[in-house]
Amino acid sequence: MDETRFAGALDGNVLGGPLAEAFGVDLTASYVTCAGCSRAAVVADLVVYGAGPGLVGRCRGCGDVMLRLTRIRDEVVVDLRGCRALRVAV
Amino acid sequence: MVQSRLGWRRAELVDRRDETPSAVTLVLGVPGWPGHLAGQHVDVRLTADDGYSTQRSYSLAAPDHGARIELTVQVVDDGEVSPFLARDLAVGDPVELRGPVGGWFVWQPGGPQRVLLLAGGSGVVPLMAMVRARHESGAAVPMHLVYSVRTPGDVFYAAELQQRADQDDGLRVTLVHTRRAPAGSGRAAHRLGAADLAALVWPATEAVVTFVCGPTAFVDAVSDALVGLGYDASAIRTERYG
Repeated sequence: MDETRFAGALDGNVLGGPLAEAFGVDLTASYVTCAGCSRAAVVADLVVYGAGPGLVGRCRGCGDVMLRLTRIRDEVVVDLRGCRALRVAV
Repeated sequence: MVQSRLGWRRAELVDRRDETPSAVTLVLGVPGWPGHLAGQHVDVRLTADDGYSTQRSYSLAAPDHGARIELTVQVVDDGEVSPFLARDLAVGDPVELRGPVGGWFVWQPGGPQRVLLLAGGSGVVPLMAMVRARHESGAAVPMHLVYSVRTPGDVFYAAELQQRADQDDGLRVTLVHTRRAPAGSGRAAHRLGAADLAALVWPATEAVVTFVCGPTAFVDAVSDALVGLGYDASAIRTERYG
């Protein structure tokens, strides 16, 4: 993987606010497992595109989309089809 | 415990300090601020008269001091939010923000591990909160800030960093210049590379927790170089500004 592959992307730290708005806890330190390549990483590690109302999080290992998050009126809509597991410390 | 979800708060600008010709520290009063940890950020939301709204994340520059928080904003010339915050927002003006945000890119004084901080440009902001938190807590754990800047005029918090480095036992601050180095620095201006890091950082045999923050290309290059030096990738915490 060349180092410019994800140039210009943000990372999963920026998901912290929108996810906390929906779930009330910080999820950036929680682990997600990529459904495509099985790589597990903290949410903060995701490659994130789109600083606007819609955010797309990709696996840093294989580049597959793991998570999409959109604010639609008074709802946060999270599409997690690329995540096989989400582990939240309790 | 009934935990309220993270909502927007109304803050007010109470003071501003120029850091460089293109960066300013905003001191905001936030009624009911719940406190925060070094490394955390806030989301700032601006809404136009026609209802158009946009938001950005900004790192908290100072440790928890109650209902006053500090953000340092670097102007992005064609940016939508930063020119307004850095140039137009006046003392007394309101700002909408939510936070604190983040549980991964955070450091708390009291741990036994050495702390290596690597900043690219404005990525120094959350790391400065860690330098300040170490100072205020009196923590003795060794901390080394390696701060990459284009020119000497681009250094945020320059006088304070010099003072901290002179006065705080166990704190080392290294400035690395990428475009123009000060006279007599002994290092020609160039990007922070693996050879620089090999000469600067603790050996990988030490227990080190590492925080890297800056533009994506900087963070990725530095993280890769550290792993190449034997650093454990899982002990490198990163935050990218794009």
